[in-house]
Order: sequence, then structure tokens, then C-alpha cells
Amino acid sequence: MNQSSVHLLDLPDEMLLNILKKLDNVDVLYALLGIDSGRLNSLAREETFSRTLNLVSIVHNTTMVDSILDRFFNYILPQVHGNVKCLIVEPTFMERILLVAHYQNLTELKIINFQRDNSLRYFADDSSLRHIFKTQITKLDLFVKDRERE
Amino acid sequence: MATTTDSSNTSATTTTENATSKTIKIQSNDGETHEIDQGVVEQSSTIKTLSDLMDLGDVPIPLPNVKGSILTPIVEFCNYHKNDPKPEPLDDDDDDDPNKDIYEPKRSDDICEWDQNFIKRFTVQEGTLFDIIMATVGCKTIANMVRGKASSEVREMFNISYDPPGEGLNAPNAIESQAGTVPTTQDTSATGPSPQPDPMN
Repeated sequence: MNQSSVHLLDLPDEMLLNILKKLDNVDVLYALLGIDSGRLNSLAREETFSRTLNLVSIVHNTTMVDSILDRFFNYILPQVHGNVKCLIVEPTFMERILLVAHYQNLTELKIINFQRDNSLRYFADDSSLRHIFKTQITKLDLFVKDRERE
Repeated sequence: MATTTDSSNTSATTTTENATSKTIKIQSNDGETHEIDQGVVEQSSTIKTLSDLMDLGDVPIPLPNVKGSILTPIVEFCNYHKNDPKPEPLDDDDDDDPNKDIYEPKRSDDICEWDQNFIKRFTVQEGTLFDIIMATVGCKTIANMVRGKASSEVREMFNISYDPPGEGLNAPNAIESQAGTVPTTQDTSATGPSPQPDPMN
């Protein structure tokens, strides 16, 4: 087949968005935020790709958890924090995620693998997260670990 | 030299019940002509619009943006899929779906075997994957290539230049030299229209 001069950036925004919508938001941000100074970076910054962030899926779908999470903590979350309305987290990383940026529009939090013994401290009076829980979160979902249900 | 190909026999499905008497001709930018039936026309909004608007009789509809080497497999693809059920509309934001499995990443690996073999003919290196993307399963294939990749890997995979704006703040060497200097605590001023240096990438 003959060589073609068509490249990814030759595709219209409509088609690029069609591709990106087949990915989880965290995949879009990890792959494209900061990739260039043009269209791909701008598309990744669209609110739709950071409105809901499921940071649990990173932990469960990759073996390079630390480096990927570091990139989210140090680079991605501080840039898209203003768009985030819903975060899906695990207790292990919840405190770091919630404190790494000011999510002024965050109202919904889903905590996966919530363990009463280890996680209740986040709701105590002296918790670093208490202010967020008290003033911002209007919907809190706790997904309890199976072992605790028994 | 222009060639004429009747692609109506390439379908792998038993599609005779949908075959209609109406056929039209389409022509690539290098003169390759295909005669296609209504089932194929219905799958391309471009061709359908043109065929509705233009009554060219036996004159082929010109497709100036498509070359013959790409048009042939497109016709083959459309013939194979012309009796497929219409796809459901895309959900714009199913991350908000409370019933979605928290651990389940979005899927784009549900490409049927015929489509997988079809798409193997096209590559990023030759650019042909992007030629075919408008009409086929290319979107899912590209999504699969991007999933789990860092921006540096995606940049390399698709030959995307970094093109640093302004004073070269985003140049790779500038980024490396600033590694570790990006704030890791609350920072309400971190948002902005232009990309910030990425110390991890």
C-alpha cells in the first residue's frame, strides 16, 4: 500500500473526540495532557474529560501504579482541578489526592474499598479532610470491602 | 489508468435480501471506479448526501479526498457490514453512570474478527490507518493504542512534535531541568490555557 501523508493531527476535532470518548477520562489525561501546545492538549483539557475522575481504575488496570499516580499528583490534577466534580478514590490514596489541589467544584466523592477501622479517621474533627467533607461534599458513596460486609 | 470494479460480490454475509436495484458509481481521486448498491450508500453520509443531491446518471460521484487504494477496502468494509444493525448513539459521559462497574475500564476491544483482520492492513507508519479511520473501526483501534500510554509514548507513536511555545518552557530539556519543581500541594493558580511542563513525562 502506498505511503500516505495523513497523520493523527490531520483528523478533525470531531473525529479525535470520537476516539477519546472511547477511553476513560484518566487515560485521556495521562496520554494527552501536555503532549503538545496545540489541539491535542486543548482537547484533553475539555471539561468532559476531567468532570469525573476514576483514580481507582488506574490502580487496578496497570502494573505501573506509582509512576502513573505520581504524574497525576504532580502534574495532571493540579491542572484540571477546577473541572473536577466527582472523584472515585480508594482510602490508600484519598488524602493525597484530595490535598494535592483545590477542587473548588468537587461535590461528589466515591470511596471504594472503604474499611471502617482504617478510614473513619478521615471524618474525625482533626482530619485534614474535614473541611472538604463539611463544606463541599454533598454526595458521599462508601463502597465497603466484602470482608467487612460478612 | 481508471479501473472499474464491481464490489457487490465481496460481501461475506448473505445480503441478498437488502440488495436493491439502484446502484451508483463512485470514483476515487486517481480514477478508480466502484459500483455500489443502496446498502453501501446508506453507510456513508457523504455518499448518501451526494447521491441524494446529484442525479448524475451513469457518471460516477467524484470523491476527491479518497484514493483508490483506500476506496477499495472501504467499499469492501461497507459491503460486509451493510446489514449490520444501526449502532446505538454514543453516551457522552458514562463516567457519571452510577451503575457502571467502578473497576471496568471503557472497552474498545469489542472488534469482531473480520474487522480486526481488515484493520491489520493499515498502519500508522504508512499513514493508511488514518486514511481508513473515517469509515471503519479505526477509532477503536487508535483508542486501544493510546490507552495506558504516557503522553511521551503517544507523542512518539504518532510523530507529534512538541513545538514549544514562547520561551521554550515546554521543550523536553526545559522540562527535565524543572523536574521536581512543580507544586505538589494546593495550588489554585495552576490552571491555564497553555500546557505546563510535565516533570514525569
